[in-house]
Amino acid sequence: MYKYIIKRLLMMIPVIIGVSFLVYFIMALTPGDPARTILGETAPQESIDALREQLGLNDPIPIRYINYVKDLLHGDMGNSYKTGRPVFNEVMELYPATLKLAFWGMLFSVLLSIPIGIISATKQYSIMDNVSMVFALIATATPNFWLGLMLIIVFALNLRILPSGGNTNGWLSLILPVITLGTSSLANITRTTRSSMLEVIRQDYIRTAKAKGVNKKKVITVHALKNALIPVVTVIGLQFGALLGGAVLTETVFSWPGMGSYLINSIKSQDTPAVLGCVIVFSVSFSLVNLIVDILYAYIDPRIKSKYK
Amino acid sequence: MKKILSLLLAVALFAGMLTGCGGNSSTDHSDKTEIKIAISKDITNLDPQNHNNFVSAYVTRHVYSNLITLDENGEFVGDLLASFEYTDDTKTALKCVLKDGIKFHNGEALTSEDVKFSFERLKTQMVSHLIKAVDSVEVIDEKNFIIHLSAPNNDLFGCLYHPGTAILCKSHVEALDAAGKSINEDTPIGSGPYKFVEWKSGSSITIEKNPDYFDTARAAQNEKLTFLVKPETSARTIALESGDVDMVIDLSTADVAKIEENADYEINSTTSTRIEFITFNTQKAPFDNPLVRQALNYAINKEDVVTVAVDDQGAPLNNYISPSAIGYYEIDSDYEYNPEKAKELLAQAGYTESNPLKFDLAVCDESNKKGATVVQANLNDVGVQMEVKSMDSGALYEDAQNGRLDACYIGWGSLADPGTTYDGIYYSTGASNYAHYSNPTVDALIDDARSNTDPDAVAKDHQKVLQTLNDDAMWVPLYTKQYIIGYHKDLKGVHNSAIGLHNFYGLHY
Repeated sequence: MYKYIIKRLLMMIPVIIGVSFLVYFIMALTPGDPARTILGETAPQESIDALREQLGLNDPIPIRYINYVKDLLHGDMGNSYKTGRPVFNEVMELYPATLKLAFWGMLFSVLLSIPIGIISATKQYSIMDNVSMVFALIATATPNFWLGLMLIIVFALNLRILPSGGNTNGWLSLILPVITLGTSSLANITRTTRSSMLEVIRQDYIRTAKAKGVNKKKVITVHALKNALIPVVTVIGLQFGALLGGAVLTETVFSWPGMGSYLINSIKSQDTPAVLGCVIVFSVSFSLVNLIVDILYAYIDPRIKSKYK
Repeated sequence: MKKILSLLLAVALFAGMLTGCGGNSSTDHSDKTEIKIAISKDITNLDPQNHNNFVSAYVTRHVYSNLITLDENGEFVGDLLASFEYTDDTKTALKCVLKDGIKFHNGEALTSEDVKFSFERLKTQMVSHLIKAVDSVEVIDEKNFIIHLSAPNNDLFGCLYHPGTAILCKSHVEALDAAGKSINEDTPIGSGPYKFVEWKSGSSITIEKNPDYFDTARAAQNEKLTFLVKPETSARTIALESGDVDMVIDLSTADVAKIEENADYEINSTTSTRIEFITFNTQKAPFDNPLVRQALNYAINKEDVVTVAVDDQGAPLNNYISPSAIGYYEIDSDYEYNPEKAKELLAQAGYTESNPLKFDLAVCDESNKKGATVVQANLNDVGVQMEVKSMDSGALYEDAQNGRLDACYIGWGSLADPGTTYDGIYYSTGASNYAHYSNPTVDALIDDARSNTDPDAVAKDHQKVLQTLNDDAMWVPLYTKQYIIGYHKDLKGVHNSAIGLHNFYGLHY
């Protein structure tokens, strides 16, 4: 098992280099001059030329990339073109906020979706099942930014019980962004839990357990749920990764100081080191979440554990 | 099932009622000493010499001081300077005297050595172009110094007002340099009305009153200013209405009517120095023909463009610079909306129904994309086939600069020195001359205006430049934009600068 974990961790190195290679070249080949974008429309040509030289933008792209990777291997993500500050420091200032939002968003989803999914499956075609599936459909179809704005209008503007945005009011600041972010995942996880549970509760061993007179609650929670969890954990892992990298709209609507808004602004200003810093952190996070999911498989299903060598 | 349906409808109705209710704020703010301001972007740098954007300037120009500032009448007056005057007729030596009792936030006195240090450092920093006319700073004593220019330069005062020429604390910056740190990695030390408190990246910036500020007339009237970064336009408006902020800069034009209707809030709107226009590549056919450019000036209904692009928060423009800008002069222009005249000129240029004029108009800004639809419809009426080409801003400006675009719909904001505008966009080698316009007469007038020591001659030069550009129809000037600030009705001391350099020290309840 440990060997497997170390192997997976080492595999992240080529992933990071591959991702950085792709992103670096895409950013470098994108039309536009970062020096002009940073200095603004009123800057004269000589200042733009001087800044290009200072940022090393006059070197050929492959040389720039090799220099970047050399620095990266020494733990240096470079300085932001825009602010001149070390990218690592900037990203690490924002990462906790993104992680916090993604974590609570995921927890909100999981705590609601798994019980709803189980009830829907065990009471298939009941009113509860229909209502939760309609709700899931609506939640999937609702755009994040719209839901966010509606929640702000109701709870911040009219009821005035929650802040309209930012991260300056402690846990109160978290409530609306977490609901907004968690809602789309909630729908996906609910639907996956339901279909997975439906498949499992039709298996022979569940019928046998029921025939032996085992308590219905125990059949569901002990025998059925564990076996139904594999696809659910997969979806949770993927959704968590998506929440980390895909919270841009939620962060923008709620002025949440996370990496999503930072990444978008960096792309707009063609700040390559900042974009790469974000992408690398997202890649590592996504890989780690996937690794955790794979490890969880082993605990849920011992048959999988035996394959981890 | 019916019960469930009824319940759902009831919930929907309740939610509808809540969203339909208007925000109402009747809180007593008289004790409030912290003012919160919503801004659209995060700042990029706390080092005034290493940024060139308004948002960062909101902070740095309140933490640092400049030698010169603009008063409410638009006149250059001393900020750190008690007096400044040229000592010679050629205007190449500006004798300056610092005011008494100026101290940096660390308690050190601000002296001529700090001015000399700041200018020498600036020569190698991002906005070095601001002092390209400055040859050296000669220190006479602690309070007296002379700025020597390599040649007379009428843009000097405007440049000394620019946030990039703020005066730094020599000992502090030298200590940072020795430690290998930038100003961004430490607490900035200035001599302005506010002291820096903290910058939470992507979230907020806080500055607090400097009790030892040297100028009582411009001392902070609030204890603390917090700038909250709110990139989404609706979120900024809602933050104002919900009382989370006291003021919104760059209020969305679409939200102006809503805020105006609310008795608790007020709008301060000023005609900015920012203009929007359509610029052509004047070196390439078909726009190398002035007749074509003139035709398009007659073909576009600018009032309709203003309505659609900026919700009527602007004014049609028939000049090449905003009336609010320093360096504006009236000109004779008869480019009014006249489709028949446009058709006539197009026919003279050889474009008819069977041989229509075709071109792409590049746009990147969202409001300009809306305005471009009106332009497209207007041009279609006179038989011109124009396609709107939506581009990323970086790509658009690069292509425009390299002459790869037929035409683009962009903007320009003049600063306090007219030279930035005249040299930047009208001069043949200007960095932002996206029209690739080259007219030796215009270049000669701009050269003369830059260094002529007679203000009347400078005014005449500038006016001739604007008139020539109009006669040549270098662009289609479209409209001026408004700078719109929304704020709580009890908030006093709101300042709205046409240039975009707003003062916040006077804000108080």
